[in-house]
Amino acid sequence: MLILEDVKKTFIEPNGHLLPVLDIPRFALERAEQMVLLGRSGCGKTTLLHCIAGISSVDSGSIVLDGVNLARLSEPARDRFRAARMGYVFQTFNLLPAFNALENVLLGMTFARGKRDTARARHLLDRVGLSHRSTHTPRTMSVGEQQRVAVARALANRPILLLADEPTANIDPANQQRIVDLIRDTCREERIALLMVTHSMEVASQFERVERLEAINRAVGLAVAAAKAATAAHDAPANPAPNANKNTNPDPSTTASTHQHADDVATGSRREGRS
Amino acid sequence: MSLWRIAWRSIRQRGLASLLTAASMALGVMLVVAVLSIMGVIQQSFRTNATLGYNMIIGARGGKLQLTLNTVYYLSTPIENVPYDYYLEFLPRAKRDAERAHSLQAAAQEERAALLELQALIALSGAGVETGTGAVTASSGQTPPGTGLAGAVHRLALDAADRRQLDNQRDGRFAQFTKTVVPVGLGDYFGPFRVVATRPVMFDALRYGERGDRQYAFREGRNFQENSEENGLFEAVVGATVARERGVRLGERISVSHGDPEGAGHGEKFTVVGILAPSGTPNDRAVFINMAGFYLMENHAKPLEKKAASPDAPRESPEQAEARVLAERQALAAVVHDQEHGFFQPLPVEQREVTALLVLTTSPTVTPGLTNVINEAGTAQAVLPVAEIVGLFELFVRPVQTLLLVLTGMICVVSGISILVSIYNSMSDRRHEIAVMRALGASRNTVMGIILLESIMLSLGGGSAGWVAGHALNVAASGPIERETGVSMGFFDVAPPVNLLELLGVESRLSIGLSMELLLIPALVVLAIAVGFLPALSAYRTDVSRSLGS
Repeated sequence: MLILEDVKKTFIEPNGHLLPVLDIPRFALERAEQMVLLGRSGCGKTTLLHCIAGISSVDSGSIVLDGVNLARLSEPARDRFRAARMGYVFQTFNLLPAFNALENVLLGMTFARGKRDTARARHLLDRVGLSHRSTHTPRTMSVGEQQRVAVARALANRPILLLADEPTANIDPANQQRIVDLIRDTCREERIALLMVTHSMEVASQFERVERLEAINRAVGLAVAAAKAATAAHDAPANPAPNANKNTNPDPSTTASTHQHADDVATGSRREGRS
Repeated sequence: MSLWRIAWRSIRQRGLASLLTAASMALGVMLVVAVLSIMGVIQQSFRTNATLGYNMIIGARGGKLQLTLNTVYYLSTPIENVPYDYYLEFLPRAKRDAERAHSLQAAAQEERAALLELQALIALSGAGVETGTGAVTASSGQTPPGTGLAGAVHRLALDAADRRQLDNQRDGRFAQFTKTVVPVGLGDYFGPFRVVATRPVMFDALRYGERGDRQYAFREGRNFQENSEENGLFEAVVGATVARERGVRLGERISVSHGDPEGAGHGEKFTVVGILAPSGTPNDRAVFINMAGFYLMENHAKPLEKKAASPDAPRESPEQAEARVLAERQALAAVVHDQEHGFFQPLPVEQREVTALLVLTTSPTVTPGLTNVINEAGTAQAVLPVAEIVGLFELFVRPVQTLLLVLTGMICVVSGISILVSIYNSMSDRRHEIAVMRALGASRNTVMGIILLESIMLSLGGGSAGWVAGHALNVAASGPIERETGVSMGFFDVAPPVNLLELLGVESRLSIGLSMELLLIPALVVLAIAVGFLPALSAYRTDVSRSLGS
């Protein structure tokens, strides 16, 4: 149902250098299949989800979902397709604070043409156990409740693919399993394919299919190498110590900073990528 | 959920900032409405008074504008007066004769004619012979001069000359060019309001309104009469504003003050017999009294001056002079106050003056010629009030109007910029929300539209509040405005229409009239789109990946 072939994505660094972020020869996900994608920070997980969702465009290759190649669609067409066929659950919920729970779910329907089903929105809130909180705004809800509303919103348009970007990262352990169960059960019931990105091995262990992005993304090694090279070039003039380019600086803060930079570069941009 | 609702929720979310922004726009629109209303009042006042029911004002020589201002608008001070006899030159023969019947000249001549007739009869009958000077007239007890046949013939000759003068009955010189003439006498006040001494023809014949077809109506009572049975010469009519402001009621007896609002009051009282319905003209703010009564008030009679003898005039004998003075005194006493019946008679013509004459000529074609004749004669001046008002409008009002329009535009722009600043400042906070909406499937155009809708809603919402506030302000100020201009303003009265083509600088015979206030709605929308475009463009360009990560 979802097939990625020869997908390549490169960012341009501020210094003009090209930074490859994605280079995926092939990746597929079947209808109603549920899988977890693991990967260390900066390896391009979020960028991959953004490309699949059509939020970002790819440089080359094809992303075919339900027979439609998103890479060939114009941006407005991708927007419409995303609204109609995909759901997206964010790590930080991203509920709009001006709207109550029901309206946040309805908002997911607003941008998909011809779809506005209040009964379904109420049903979904009921499904995530929040029918009694439908008129509450996000500010008055717990993080667990907010994420459940976000799940309901992602499912509002009866998507065929649900993309979940670390949906349990900001949730207390007691609620993590509840959210995972909720997402998985709902996707199973509605035969929705699920691609979940997570760092949690506990969550990953529950899925039949678990893959590491490093294994399918050839650009990861290139990105890290490019990041190290860039760091070395950056440090060389300012720090002429012979061992400086070996990253043996004993100062932990400097080390952390360097790693962070490498991560940023690996995602292509300190702003755009997040993994 | 509609985009309008999404925009509205966004406005509500930023409650205080949105409120302040809308308040800024409301303030701007309130000022705009106030400015437009002021312009409307000026225009309406101008238009209403541009058709006065007369097309010429005759007054004492002096400033034309001053004559127009104090005659049409009851502003400024009157220049001087012109003799009443000059007014009679605009009347046809019958009316002129009737007026002249109340003259000292006529009374004295009648007296003198009777005296001469008696003397002639005595002379012819030989009863008072002949060489002596002992004959005594029946009426005066004085010894007549030059008795005998020769003397009698001489007196008869004088009598004939007097009669010829008396018989000088004719149309007034300007009567054939005059359709209506209304005399007015100014100078008195009733509180802060002008008192206009005039004749009933003021309200019987004159018409007002933009088309000059509206007759003055009385809210209560009737027009005053020249000489009514119940009130004699002392009847008055008050304008609508005067009645309201001073609480004047029908049947009330009012006294007016002389010279200025704080001047000494006249002893004579006028009975209010009519209250005018509001006309939107300066007449709403005036009191109209019967001119005959006006003349009889203290200090209103023109002092009699002894005429300097013309070298060419026939020499008056001492007896004749004595007889003339005596007759004039008796005539004055007779015509002014009927002591036997206890009521007043009109003042003699010689002692009357008018401040101005409101003349409607028989045809517009005779107006220029008549104006020239009057102005060249030198006794008085004739001015064309509409021309003066138009000149005044172009000189003073038009620049003020233009200035107000410019200010109005600047107010709108400043208010619009406040919306721009408010929305643009909120964009950094909202970029994440916009990215979420984009991730949920909203297109770039959709989020751009939401921002524009927000701008339009703030603009129209603030504008509506401003419109209400502006009109409430108008209603609150309508009292003083009506008092000053005669134009009343209700809550739903919008500014009068303007010619769109003229406003756009298009020279055309066509006219597209539209109230500037109605133009305010599309103007606000255009302004909102213009000022909302920059933040909307910012929303359009939002980088979703980057903003979702922030």
